[in-house]
Amino acid sequence: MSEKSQEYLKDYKNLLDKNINFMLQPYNPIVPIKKGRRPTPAEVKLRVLQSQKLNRYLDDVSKNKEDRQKKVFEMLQILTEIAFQRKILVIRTLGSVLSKLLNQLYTSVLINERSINSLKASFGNQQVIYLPSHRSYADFMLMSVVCFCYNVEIPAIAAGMDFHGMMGIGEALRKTGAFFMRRKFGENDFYWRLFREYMHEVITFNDQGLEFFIEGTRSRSCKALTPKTGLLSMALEPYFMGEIHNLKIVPISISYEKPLEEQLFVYELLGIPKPKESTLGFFKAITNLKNQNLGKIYFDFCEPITLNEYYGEKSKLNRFAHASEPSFVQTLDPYELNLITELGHDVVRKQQEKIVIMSFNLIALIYNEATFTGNVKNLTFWELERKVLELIHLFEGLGAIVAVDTKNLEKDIKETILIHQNILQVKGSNSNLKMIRSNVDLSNINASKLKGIALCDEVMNVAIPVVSLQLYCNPTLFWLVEPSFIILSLLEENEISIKDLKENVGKLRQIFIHEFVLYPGFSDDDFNQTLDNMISLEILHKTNHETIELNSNSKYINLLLSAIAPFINSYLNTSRVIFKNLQDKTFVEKDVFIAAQTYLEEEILKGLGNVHPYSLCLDSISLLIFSLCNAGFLLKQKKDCVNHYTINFDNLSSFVEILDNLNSKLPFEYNYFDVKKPSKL
Amino acid sequence: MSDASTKSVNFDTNMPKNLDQKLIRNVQSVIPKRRQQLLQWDGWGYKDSGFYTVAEKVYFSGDRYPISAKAPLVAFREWVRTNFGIEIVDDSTKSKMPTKFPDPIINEEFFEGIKKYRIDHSIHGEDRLFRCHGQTLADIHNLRNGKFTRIPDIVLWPVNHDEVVNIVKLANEANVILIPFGGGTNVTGAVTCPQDEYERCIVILDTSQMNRMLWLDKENLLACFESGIVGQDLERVLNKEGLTMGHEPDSYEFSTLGGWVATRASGMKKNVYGNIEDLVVRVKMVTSKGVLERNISAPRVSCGPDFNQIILGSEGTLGVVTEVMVKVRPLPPVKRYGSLVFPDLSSGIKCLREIAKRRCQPASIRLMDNEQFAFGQALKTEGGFFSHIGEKLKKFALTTIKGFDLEKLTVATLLFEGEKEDVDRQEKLIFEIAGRHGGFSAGATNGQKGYVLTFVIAYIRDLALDYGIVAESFETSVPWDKCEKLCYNVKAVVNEECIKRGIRFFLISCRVTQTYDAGACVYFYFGFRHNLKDDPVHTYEEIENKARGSISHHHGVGKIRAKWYKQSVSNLGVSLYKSAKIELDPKNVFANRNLLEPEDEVDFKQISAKL
Repeated sequence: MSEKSQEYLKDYKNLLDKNINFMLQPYNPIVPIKKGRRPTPAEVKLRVLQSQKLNRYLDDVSKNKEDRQKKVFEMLQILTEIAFQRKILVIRTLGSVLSKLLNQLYTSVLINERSINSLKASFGNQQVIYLPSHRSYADFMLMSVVCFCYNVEIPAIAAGMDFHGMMGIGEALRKTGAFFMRRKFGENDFYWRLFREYMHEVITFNDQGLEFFIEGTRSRSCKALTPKTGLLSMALEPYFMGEIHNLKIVPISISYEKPLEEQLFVYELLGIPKPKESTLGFFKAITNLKNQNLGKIYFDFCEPITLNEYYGEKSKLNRFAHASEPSFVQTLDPYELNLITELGHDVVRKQQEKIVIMSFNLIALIYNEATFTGNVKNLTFWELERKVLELIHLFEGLGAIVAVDTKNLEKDIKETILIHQNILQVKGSNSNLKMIRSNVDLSNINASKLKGIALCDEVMNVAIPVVSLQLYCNPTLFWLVEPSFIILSLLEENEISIKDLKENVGKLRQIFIHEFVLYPGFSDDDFNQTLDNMISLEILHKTNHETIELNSNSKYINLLLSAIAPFINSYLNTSRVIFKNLQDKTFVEKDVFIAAQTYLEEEILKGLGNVHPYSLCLDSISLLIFSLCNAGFLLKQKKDCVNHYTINFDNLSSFVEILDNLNSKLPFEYNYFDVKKPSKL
Repeated sequence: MSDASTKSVNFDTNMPKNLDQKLIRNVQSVIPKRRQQLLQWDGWGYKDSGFYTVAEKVYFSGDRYPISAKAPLVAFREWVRTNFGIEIVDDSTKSKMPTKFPDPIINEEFFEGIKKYRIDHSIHGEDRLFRCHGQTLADIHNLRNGKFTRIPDIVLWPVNHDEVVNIVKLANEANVILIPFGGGTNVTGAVTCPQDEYERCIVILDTSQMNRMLWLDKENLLACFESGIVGQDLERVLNKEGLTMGHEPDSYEFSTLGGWVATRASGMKKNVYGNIEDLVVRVKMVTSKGVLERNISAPRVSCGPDFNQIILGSEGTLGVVTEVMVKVRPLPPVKRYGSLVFPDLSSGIKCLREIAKRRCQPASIRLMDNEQFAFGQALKTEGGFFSHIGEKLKKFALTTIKGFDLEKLTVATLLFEGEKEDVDRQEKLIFEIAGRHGGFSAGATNGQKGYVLTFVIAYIRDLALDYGIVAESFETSVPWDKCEKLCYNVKAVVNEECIKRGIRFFLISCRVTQTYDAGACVYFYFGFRHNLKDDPVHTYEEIENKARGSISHHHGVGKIRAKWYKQSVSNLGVSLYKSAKIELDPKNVFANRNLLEPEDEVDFKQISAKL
């Protein structure tokens, strides 16, 4: 481990070592914004009911007095459904349970104490919005536990209604600060206004901070998701309207050695929907986990974004514009919404930068590269160790924080492989790393609930470990996508001008814009920074100050290409299927899922190694459709709230051609296992 | 080259704001888009309201005013006979609207642009004629005698601020004249087309279809309306919310918010609510160079010259008012009328002066002279001022005990608004002050009737015209010490001039309608029976001018008072105004020719030659 990472990781302290007793530990939390008297949750509700905005709206939509009364009653009901409470006893009880669970499941829960302490030191004058990355249900519980342990007031937490439905649990969470939001309330104007007003009071009146997940949902693929701006703009509206002087945004990075939901995610990605959250299911899941070891968690508060500084420097935001009319009659204008989108992307980027890369992430990348290049038989433990060290150098060179204990590398790797023995196993130091074929029987699954097709067991058994492994590659792609694009653009080229290179990379970014959340506003920075890093890493050479060439001796070329390969392959497969099977008709997303999975299943069973099993993932298929629509390759029309697509013919063929060309540049085969043809075929 | 006017015009407000569309309220106006469906074409007000005669009895028709359509105005014929020597007869045939109209001069480039932007428009003769005039005596006379040779060419009905921006942009590109039109109640010739303008197409920008309430802020007591909202609609909408703006000029049934702003209007109840300049917080005006608006709504700022004051009273010469943010007040729980009787005009004025000094004016206080008192009697439906038994006792008390002369007494009408305790206290104080000036209370009913009279009286001029009587009102404001003298002198001059011209039947009457710290507004009615051979309107204006008129308190300047603008604002003031005109409207699109006399007008030909 380099000094830089080591220095950084020094600030992390294991929460589990503290042995905190949640029932007895005094809790005198510090609040982000100190008021004369602490507002109560009931007062927050009351202010919403009294708000002029809602009352004006009620006046407008009510037919008569009775109707208005009815609507007020409805409003009260919804508000009860939304609103959070604050009950210290519930916080203590839940905290006790959670800390027990954490102790059982994790070897360590590492908290960046320096970042939390400096955040605490800045409290007093500004409301705070905490925006954690979202990879697991544990995120939200963990955040509250951390707050309790460090005497920070647990914020009000915007949570999805799926929790609300869980008998007992929903109400318990509510008492620890959770407030509940219906999903897809776009059409219900009344609900939307009520919720927005509630958010308004949480920001302007309440003092305890606000927490929500900017990605909107847990990322099943463990890649970052495009930030959702709905909640963020509600939360920022009072700032733009000049009702609060400043606002602090705190991105939070939570890195898991193994997410709680690993296998659930894999199933979901393959089209088997998650079970509806129920209390019983919740306890079942917990009991199932009991004897598991999920390894380490890293928890870090990123450098806060203070809006006055952020918008002052970047956009010269003029909040005065809203001062001339009452803020409750105004909405944000497109320019401001754009600023919010950009902020959302900045937050996600900051989260990503602080996601800690652990040894299994590296192992997953190494295993994939070895597989693609046909070298997996030579991947012994020693070889693995050597490669891990190489990759640490690469990641640190690209700017990532890597948490691998290089002093005890063997132990570190062995432990993490043990934790992930459902995917990879190694017998001894001289034997090679092996992927474990899954052995599931999905015959009794209700096929009507599947999002795609019922994949045969043989394909499932291959796909499950491959997709599982990919979940550990994916968090590293934040660092690897840009370098991979650069290499892709340089393959088969002698030297190329930086300007042309940037243009080529730009085209690739456009294709994968949603897959890897490549915000156009960052493309210059990303490119320039990556170019410098790659030159330092001697992957690239500057031939003169305007041209660049690939150092074909670099040991990282295949690794970087292998990181992006599953996605190029997946996009090629899917767009081909769309082009071939769905021309001349109007289709919906599910049609693509079915067509793609049907085609892929056949191809995988042929055992030619031409399709990567990750292509089966519906997540990437959805993102591709989204990209194709934005680029005009597909035409979208909304009918009964469902998107219907048609092919924009000429264009899509050129798109397939581009991907085909990219795919053929990759010298890879995707043979993870020898495929056994199922007897029924 | 002046770069200011050659640069492409920037119409963007520098601060884009998005309003919550759900909080905007559409207002169903009482006045239809096609005004001719409801309004009189050649006179004041509603078609269905006005004086008519059946079986030698005079009635007031319709049920829009609290004056019974079934009860005859018993004393009216007698009053007319005495004052004008005329017998009112049954037959009064209503004149019909002409069916032939001057051909419109259409600027094709502009017209195409209007169609491209899908702006509601008409070139129909009725629509054009209906918007070619205000309510001056001359306007009505010209209408009835078919004397309007130049009427507007195109009528536009924009529906919001953005459409107005597009219209003004097009007008500048195509070089047409834009005349903003609100309720058409001006008495200054303000919207009358320049009769010698045959070069350019004249376009009426009728604001009536932009009349939404954009928002209401009950906590800060502020509301934002589009400028075309008509007074009575505005009050109705606010009343429903338990609020009022309290701006009630006598024209408020028809006049619009934008018109009030453009003419610096004054309302009857200004003592409680303020005049328009006190009520306006922000105003948006679309000019040829962009949108002029104050970007702050702070209650008061120390921030250089206030450009709201350039908009207020600009009379459509600098741009179009599109949106106005105004103060509103809670509806008063108590509204009470009252009246006072004084032995003569002098004591009445003294009393008003003291009330103003004590700053205890009720919402409205108006003092009528004896002629107007007598005229008021003539409009009573049954009996008169002293009809009831109790009232008869009052008459007895007045004439016998108090020694009042019925030929000299004057009456003040009062309107109180506020909390009950406040109104009680105010009323007591007013009566006490009145007592000191020899006056005393004459009851609430007489007060209320006085205010009804205000609205009804506007219809009389049209009846009078049918009988060869020309009549009109004019007004001004004056310091307290000159108030009584002004009333006396104006009457004396009119008397002299009429006698000089051999006019036997005439009436000159006055009323003090507003009081201020430093003075009062005096309102005159003057009418005379004319000899058909003369040009009565010209004679009327001559006599009015002999009264040494000046600038007005609330009617505005328009064209007919332009001759007094210079003396009121000084030569430098005129050149300052002209600079503003050149800056805001370099192509003179807003060429309704208000405020300045022809010889003072900016020579735009010279300006464009310089460019």
